[in-house]
Order: sequence, then structure tokens, then C-alpha cells
Amino acid sequence: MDVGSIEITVTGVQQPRVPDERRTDHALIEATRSGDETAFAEVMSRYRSPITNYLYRFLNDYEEAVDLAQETFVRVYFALDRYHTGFAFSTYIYRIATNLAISELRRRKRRRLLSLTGLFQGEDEEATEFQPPDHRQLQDAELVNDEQSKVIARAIASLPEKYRVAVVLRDVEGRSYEEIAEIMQLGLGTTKSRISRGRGLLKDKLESYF
Amino acid sequence: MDRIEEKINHDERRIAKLIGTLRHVEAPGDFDTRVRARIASRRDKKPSISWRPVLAGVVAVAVLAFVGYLGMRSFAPNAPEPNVSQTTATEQPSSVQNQHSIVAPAPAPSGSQAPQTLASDKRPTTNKLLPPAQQGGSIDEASKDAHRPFAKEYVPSQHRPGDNSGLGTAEIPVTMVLEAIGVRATWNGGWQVNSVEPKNVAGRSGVRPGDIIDAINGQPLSETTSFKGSFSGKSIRVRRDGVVLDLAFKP
Repeated sequence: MDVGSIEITVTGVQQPRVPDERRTDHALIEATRSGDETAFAEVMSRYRSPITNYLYRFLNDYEEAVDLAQETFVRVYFALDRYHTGFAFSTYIYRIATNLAISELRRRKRRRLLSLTGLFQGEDEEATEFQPPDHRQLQDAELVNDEQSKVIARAIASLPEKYRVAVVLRDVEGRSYEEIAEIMQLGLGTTKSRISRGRGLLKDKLESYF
Repeated sequence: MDRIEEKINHDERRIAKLIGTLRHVEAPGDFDTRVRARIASRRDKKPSISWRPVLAGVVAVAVLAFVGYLGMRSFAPNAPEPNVSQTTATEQPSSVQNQHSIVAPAPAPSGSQAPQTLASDKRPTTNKLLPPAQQGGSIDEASKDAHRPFAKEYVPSQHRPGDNSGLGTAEIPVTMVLEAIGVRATWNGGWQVNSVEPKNVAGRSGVRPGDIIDAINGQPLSETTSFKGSFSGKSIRVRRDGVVLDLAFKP
């Protein structure tokens, strides 16, 4: 018996747990699939504000944007099994949000048509500009900026939906052309052309700010 | 050209910058809670039955049944009308039941009115069963409603105009026979066929429009030929392009 030697048996290596905030989207989705609810909470904390902001600029209606953003996460949650990690999660969730927003726009259009026929008289369709709470004292310059923001928001909201998606994703959300092409399921050239066309339409509407 | 592109790019950058000045909105504080509540409520929701496929199935079955019914009617134009066949089936000898036949009522014994009354109670007494030809119309008029299913066995009323005996001396006029075998014909010195129901007896037996019918069951036809007693179709002689053809009735 060799008294001086110590036998060490490696039965397993305990991996240190990576904090949620440092895990990739795919890792979080995998964890959520296996029942880790905190992983889904981290997914929400990453995307809830970008998605809400994106939908808000798309619809120009904060309450509707929040509602659709929540619906987006619900859809993501129930479609986790069908999600493929072949492309970025951000693309996936923006695509869901975009589809929901487009459906909402079409629903509104139908409702407006019905209201024109008198079936829904009195329903107020005019979207109101949402101002996030800001407790600072307002200065003149800020008042001007607020007015300018309203005009820009209305101009964006008046764009045809195919240009609106492209412009909002690019200029509001700062997504790359490749990402936007994937979200809209279009070619890169078409995507760039739509962004350019959307900006051109906005230029006509916002002439006074140049 | 470069200047134009440069100008466009310059304008686009300014627009992008202008849009970039928009303040970013944040999700509300209870966002996660509300999402979890929605997820929980949908998870608990029992899978509801979608009525659309069920309704579509019911409609499809109903349509198929209706189409099948119509199909059966169109493929069986000679199917007996229940009232008539039930009435006469018991009176028809079994040997002629499979033949295409028109049956005049058997002469009743003179002086005995009771059986005749019973018979007329059993069968319809109105002239509905008589073709319009019997009611004073032409053979063409009579054939207008030839599309209706024709009873294989036909019992004319014993109280036809001109039949004053009322005791079973019924005769079946040639017009009725022609209608029964599915032929529309006019008398032009001979019964010239105008049209033939392809699925009826004459059509199946090979009678064609343009043929002139000379005889049925060997009996030469005139304008007023009638068949006494019961008529059972066996053969028909036609002239086609000057050629005389004897055709056997195919039931």
C-alpha cells in the first residue's frame, strides 16, 4: 500500500452557472424549453422595451403597442418548440411583432370602414400621442421638440405599412439591413429600396423641418 | 448623376437623424406580470372544439346525399312510382312482371260492380296518370313531361272519354305506348320519331330520331291504332333510310 500517494477520482466537473444576463438568446430559449422560468423572464427583460417601442412607432398608439408586445411574448412562449435556432431570436420576435401589428392595422382599417357605414358611430379612431412620464420642468426647447416628435410620429404612422415596417426597424430600432430583410422576408435589395422609398415619403411630409 | 445620388443620400441621412430624435418608450412596470397572467390563462384554457370542420363535414355529407339522390333518380328513370306499382303488382302475372308492359284492367264480369269499385278505390281515380294526349292534347304535348319517371306498369282509368261501357274494354292508344317507351313522334303518314329518351326502352333498343315506326309487336301502326288488353313490349319495326329494321325491346 502506497501511503504517500493520494488517489483522486474525478466524478464530475461542476460548471459554474452563467448568469442569465450573460447567456445568449438561444441559450435562454433552450433553458425556457426545459422549464427554466427565470430564463424567459430574462428574454422578456431584454426585448420588452424594444418591442414595445417598435410597435408604438408602428401603430402610434401606446396602449395598443403594449398589448401587442405582451401578445408577442405569449406567442413566443407557446411556440418555443417550433422555434429553430437557425436564425437570430431578435429576428424571430420582431417578425412575430410585425405580423401582429400588420394584422392590427388591417383590423383597424376594417373597423374604420364599418364606422363609415354607421355601424360603429361614435367610436374614436384618432390615435393619441403617448408621452412617457417625464417629471422634469419643461423648457421652451423641449416643448418644441415634443411638438416635432408628434409630427414625426404622425408622419411615420401615415406611411404605407410596407414602408413603415422598414423605416421603423431601420431608423427607430437601428436594425441592420440584413436583419430587416429577414424580418420582412424580402431580398436585401428590396429592403433597401423600401427604406429609401419610405424616407422619401417622409421627406415630403416633414419638409418644414429641413 | 452622382450629385443627385449624393443629394438623395444626404436627405435620407437627415430623415434618419430626425427619426432618431424620437424618444424611446419603455414597457410598463407590470409588463412581465401581465404576460405571465396571459400565459397562465391560456395554458389553463381547455382546448375548444373547432366547429368549423364539424360544420363543413355536415354540409359536405348533406350535399353528397342530395347529389346521390339526384343521381339515383337520373339513372333510374323507369323506376316505378310507388302508388302505381304497388297497386298493380298484385294484379300482374309473374311472367310479364319483368317486361316493359302497360296493363289494361282485366274485363270484369258483367253485372258485378263490387270488384270494380274496390279496384278504383285502390288506384288513383284522377286523370293524373293519363298523359295529356288522353286528355285531348297531341303526342308532342304529351311528351313534354316525358322526363318524369314512368311507371313500368300503367293502368288507365276505366272512365276515359269515349269508353262508355266502363266494364274493362280498355284500349291503349298508340300514343300512350310511344310515350311509355320513351319516343316523341308525330304522325306523317307514319309515326316519325322526333326524339328518343336514350335511357328509356326505345333508346336502349336502338330507335333513333328520324326513324319511322311501322309496327310494334308485329302490329302495324296507324294514327289511331290501339292495343287491347295488356301491352307487353317485345319488338318494334322501324324504317331508317329506306331500310326496315326489326328491333327487340330491351327492358
